[in-house]
Amino acid sequence: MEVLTPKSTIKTTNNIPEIEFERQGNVAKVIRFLKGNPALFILAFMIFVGATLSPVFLTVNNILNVLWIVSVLGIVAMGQTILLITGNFDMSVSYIVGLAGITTVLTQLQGAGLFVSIALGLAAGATVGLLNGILIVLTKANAFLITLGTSILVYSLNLILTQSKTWYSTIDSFLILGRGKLFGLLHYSVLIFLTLGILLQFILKKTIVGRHLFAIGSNPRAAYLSGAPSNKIKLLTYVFCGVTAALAGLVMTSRTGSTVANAGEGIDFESLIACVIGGTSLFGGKGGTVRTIVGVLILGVLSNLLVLLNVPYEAQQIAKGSIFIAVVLIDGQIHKR
Amino acid sequence: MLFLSRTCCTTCLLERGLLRKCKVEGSHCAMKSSDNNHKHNEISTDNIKTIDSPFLKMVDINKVFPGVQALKDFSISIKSGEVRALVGENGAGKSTLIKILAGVYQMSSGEIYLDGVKQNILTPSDGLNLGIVSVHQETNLQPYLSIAENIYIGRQPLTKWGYVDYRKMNDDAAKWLKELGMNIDPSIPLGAISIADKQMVAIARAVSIDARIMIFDEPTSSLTTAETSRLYEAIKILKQKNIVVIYISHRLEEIFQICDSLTVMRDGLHVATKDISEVNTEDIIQMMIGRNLSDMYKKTDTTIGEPVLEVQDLSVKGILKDISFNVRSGEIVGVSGLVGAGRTEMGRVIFGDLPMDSGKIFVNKKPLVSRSPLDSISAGIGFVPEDRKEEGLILTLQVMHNISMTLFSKISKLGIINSKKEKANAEYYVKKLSIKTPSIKQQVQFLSGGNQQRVVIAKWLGINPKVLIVDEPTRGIDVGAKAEIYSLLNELAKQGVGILMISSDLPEILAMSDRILVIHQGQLKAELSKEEATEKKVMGYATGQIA
Amino acid sequence: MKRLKQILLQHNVIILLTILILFFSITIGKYFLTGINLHNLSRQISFDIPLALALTFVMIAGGLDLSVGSVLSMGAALTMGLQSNGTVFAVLVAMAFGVAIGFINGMLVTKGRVVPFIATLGTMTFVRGVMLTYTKQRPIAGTSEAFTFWGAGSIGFIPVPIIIVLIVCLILHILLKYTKIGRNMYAVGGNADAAFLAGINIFRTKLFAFMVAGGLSALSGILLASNLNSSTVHLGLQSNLWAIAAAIIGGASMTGGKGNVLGAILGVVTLSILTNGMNLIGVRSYYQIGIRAIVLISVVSIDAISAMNIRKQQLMQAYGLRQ
Repeated sequence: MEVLTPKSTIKTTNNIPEIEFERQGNVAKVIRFLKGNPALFILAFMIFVGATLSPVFLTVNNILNVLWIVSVLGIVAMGQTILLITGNFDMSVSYIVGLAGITTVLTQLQGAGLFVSIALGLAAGATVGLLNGILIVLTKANAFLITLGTSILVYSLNLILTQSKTWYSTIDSFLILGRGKLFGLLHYSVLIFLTLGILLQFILKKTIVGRHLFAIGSNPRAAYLSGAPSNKIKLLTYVFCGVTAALAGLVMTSRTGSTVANAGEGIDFESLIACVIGGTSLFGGKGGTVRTIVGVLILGVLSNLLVLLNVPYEAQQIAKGSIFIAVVLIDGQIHKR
Repeated sequence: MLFLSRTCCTTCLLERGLLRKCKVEGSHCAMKSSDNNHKHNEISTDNIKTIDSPFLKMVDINKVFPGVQALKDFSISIKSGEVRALVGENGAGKSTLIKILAGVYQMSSGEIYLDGVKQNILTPSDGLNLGIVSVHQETNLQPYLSIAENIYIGRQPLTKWGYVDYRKMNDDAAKWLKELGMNIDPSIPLGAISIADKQMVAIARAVSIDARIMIFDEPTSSLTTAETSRLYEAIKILKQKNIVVIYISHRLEEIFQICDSLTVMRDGLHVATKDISEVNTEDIIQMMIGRNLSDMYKKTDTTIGEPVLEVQDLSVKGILKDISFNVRSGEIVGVSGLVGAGRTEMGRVIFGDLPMDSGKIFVNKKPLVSRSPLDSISAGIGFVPEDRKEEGLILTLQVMHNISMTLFSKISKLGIINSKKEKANAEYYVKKLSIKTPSIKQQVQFLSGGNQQRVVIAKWLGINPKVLIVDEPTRGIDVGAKAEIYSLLNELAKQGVGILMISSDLPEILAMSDRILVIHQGQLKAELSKEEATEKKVMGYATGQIA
Repeated sequence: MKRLKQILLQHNVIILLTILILFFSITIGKYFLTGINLHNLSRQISFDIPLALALTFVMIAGGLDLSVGSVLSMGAALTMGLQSNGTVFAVLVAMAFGVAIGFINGMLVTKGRVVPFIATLGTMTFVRGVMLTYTKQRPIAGTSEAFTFWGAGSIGFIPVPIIIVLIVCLILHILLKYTKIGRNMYAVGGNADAAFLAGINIFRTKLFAFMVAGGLSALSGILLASNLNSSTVHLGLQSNLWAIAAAIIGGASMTGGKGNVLGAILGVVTLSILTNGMNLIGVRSYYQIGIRAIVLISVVSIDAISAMNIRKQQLMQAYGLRQ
């Protein structure tokens, strides 16, 4: 992408100042690319550190394993990315993940077939997303607080539905979603994760809807005045996020074949971190799903390292909190309006 | 009664919070106390200046923004107790000048002297510390606190134990308000009173902190006649306190009533400073425009066809009432009126951005039923907003992307954008409208004002509009670029587009319109043809002088 | 009399409160209005009020604080964990910790220019991690029987913690209403630009608000730990949102510049009576969680809608309501 930067001096001729522009050569272009995608550096750095610290790290097995573990978070992060680009977010994804799994398993226990139960699980996620969207678009309330509220609502629903018991799926083929591998190598869930990321990236960059998303995130007023159906789009992004969270929930549930009330806890926070580390701004208008894939991988590698090095859970929390703060600070510096 | 004179000792000024104790031993200066590296200026109180020498002197002020030079070697001096009007068309530089004085902008070069002493005004706090107060409508006030607290915010009187003394605060506030003719209970929350009253509160606050310079920027735009009179009385009191008053207004009859002198600005330059007794309205307008109207770019003759836009009985509660008019193909209909009359709101209502309470809108005889910008765009209405940076463009996006925002149907299939088509389209418009940009991928925020406006227009051309509403089309654009925008509008009219042009620039309206609508306080007061329109008539209807 | 009327008008929540009290008195009067129930209820309220006050404080200054629950849990943990070095020492360290986190929050929001809820979301996780590390995910038992007086004891009929909290409330009320920094908080939250132009130091004011909030959260943890004579990892887990709801019910707003001590107290009282009543009726906990969520969502939505209406009103005023 050819981008020109203004020189800092302002020349004045005939009382009309001109801003001079420099064309940049190919080398500068590469540097620019690297500067604009610090996440790649971080990922590369972490892989390097991992390879040196642990002999197990770079094995094919471990890599595939990391990808598998991380794909649930990854799928959620896809929906979150879309929301972030429009300047919103969804903190209820954690329990939507749970709700979807619970809905699917429970309906199976009631006799529903594979596809019906999956459809119902996804529908549950869509419904919560719709609720979020309606509340936020209509009242213009703080997206954060509203989705935290619906998060608790869904949690209570999860509790009521499961009665705090563990429930098991009755359809064996359901487990293929979470456990099955393509050609015996790559898990289907990883495939879903990566495909979703690339597909969404295409939509973001090459379609009208994608443009609208960025426009709404950068300047909602101007986007609205240029004919973007802002409210409709915002509503749909929330529904979409609900569906992706539900999909992630199905993947997660189908790994163990069971579901509990607090499944998915913490994913809301982690998906935010992943998106921001990857380069999607919390302020809206910037980012992409491929970037989020990188961000998710970074988190995955980090967790993997911490486990391989036997770092306790609590320290992981501290690490996550600190990284989040650091990343958010940097995000603010770069994308400050 | 508190009275600030140049004979006041530095101790008094210190106590009133106008000076800060300086690190340099035994002296005072007008800098923030936290600023340790400030330039040390002494306010000398030995030479007692005579009443004739100016209190405020701004010398050779230059201000450069990217793309335009707002002020060019501008100088002005005003004496204490003088009410100076600042007149000029839009873009003349009045706003910029007062913002520099108040510390909101920093000048590119020049000097400011207060009472003979050079000052560095770099932040709004600096301006405030020096006693320079801008009286805006309510942006400087706290909506949830009481009137008294607003007057004393940041410097509440304390009891001897160090607590806020509410009774004293309320009593003192009541005193200031009374002086300005307001008998209002200062303990009520600010949100409860009217805009005009809030303005008076702002004045009371300024007077109570011993302002030395007070700036009014279009203060009467939403005031009734009674409230305006009250404002005049307040300004008279400011005069008595020897406060410098700078009064910006488009309402020339006001200036004759309240001001002692006036300074005319044009295109960032100082044109003339005269005593009010030496000039009349025609003189002022002549100085403002600086050229004969016939020299201005004119509306070319076009075949005027059928009405493309018809508005019937448009009403919005509290803002517009029973507006009816039409715009025909090939016509430019100018909309004139004072700030706050409702012109922009009318444009927004037609475009679907503001809901209307009653009325009908027709585009090419077809009724416009649903109300949203998207629907209006589908019907063929385009809208070039007043604030192109906030509402017309997405600054961080490329030129190409901004141009494409409205015409996705042309460059995409099944929702997927054809990048070749998009590029070709953007390049076409860049060429056609002579948009000066290094590349179509340049972010629009780096373009000059005039070019940005052309991008906005390009965006709308893409939908082949039948009606184009433009709001302040040449605001913030220098003269050379203005002419090009006018030729663009002419070109559009020639192609049959009906243009509704809202503008505060009187010469622009008079030169470019086939017909002129004048709005006064939400109502359509007059519809003048090109032949019968004169500045006097238009201003007369706009200010309500002609009923 | 005029003052009383003013207070009543300002706090709509009193209506809701009265309705709730009447409702519960009628349905389960004999369980609800007993001395014992009210005694326990007031004790519970005393643990929640500092959190609501903390939120109210930062909301007045225009911010938000999500770390209150985590700070509470760490405050409790420190109080119990360091008790062997002396109860006073432990309490001081806990308070210092709270204020320190408040300081970090304040710095992130002011100098770091991070949006408040994002910043405090980060510190919330961070502090939680610190707490889990410190407690090794296990409860810590207290070693001083005497210390439990502050949280579990009573003077006559009245639980001790409510007395402490009410004293704190009085101090903070004076601070908000009668000191410059208190008034400045309202200015900064109500109209930050105007406050800046009036020469108020916005950074310092916001920093102060966050630090007070941190201290209050720690106080709540200290009292809770004293009451239970132990600290567990579950303390404060769900407290954040409830505190926000209480603050908003009490009159604070997401837009800033509004709220006061009395409102925070009333908000907590209302929500606690709601919870207490539901418990006594026998509403099961799963449903209670759901009802809490609905309350939060409603409160936040209504606050947002009223903010929208105020903006519309201000716009209308600008036109002088012609016609």
